[in-house]
Amino acid sequence: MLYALFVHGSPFQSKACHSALTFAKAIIKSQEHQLKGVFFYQDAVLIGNGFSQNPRDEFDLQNAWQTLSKEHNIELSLCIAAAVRRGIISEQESQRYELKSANLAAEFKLEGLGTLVSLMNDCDKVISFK
Amino acid sequence: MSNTLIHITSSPYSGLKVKEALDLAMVLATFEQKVELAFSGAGIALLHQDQQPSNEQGKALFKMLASFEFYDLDKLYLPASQLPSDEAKITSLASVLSDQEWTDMLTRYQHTFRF
Repeated sequence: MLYALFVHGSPFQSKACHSALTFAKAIIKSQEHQLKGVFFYQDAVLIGNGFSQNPRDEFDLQNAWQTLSKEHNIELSLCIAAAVRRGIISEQESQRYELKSANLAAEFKLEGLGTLVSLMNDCDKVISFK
Repeated sequence: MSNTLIHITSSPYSGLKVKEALDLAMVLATFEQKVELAFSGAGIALLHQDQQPSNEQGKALFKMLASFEFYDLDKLYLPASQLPSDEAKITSLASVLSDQEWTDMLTRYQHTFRF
């Protein structure tokens, strides 16, 4: 079965991003299922803030997602409108808004909600984490 | 084409959740996906008529409902068991469902996203 994950809970105020990561790992480990992509919406886009500094003695959730993406070629998309509103800025958006810097973390991409629509149509199941 | 229910259970004025849920509904409809909306709990507050929030209190999200018909977003539901008191009037854009109709409605969709 082909899966997509739709994550919309904050990485700081909920366990949505943690639970989604666990689920993603289970799909990848499985022989019979595949993960097509992960779409982050609402406060979940904060996972892509490259300026956030994780305490060294705590689990680094952003790094875990980046590693998963790199090792298994999983696309991590952040809703562009939700991200820009919350100050998650790519190089391209930094130029558009004439800002001094960008902070989108590596392995994450800013995408429109159309990407979520494609995932919904391409996959057998979309699992939501709030 | 997917068949999606956006189920709003959060208060429209407690944060961005409801605004972004409505944005998602409109984008799905723009991409010609079938979308319907259900309201329960604190989410029903969005359906109250005569709301006049100031800028500081939040965007007047209920005004978005009036534009929904242009996106073919004309199926809005709430359960009869959660109808507010007579003092709070509910927009005529929404259909009130009996408990059985509500339960049946919730099972009709390929995707359900709850905000």
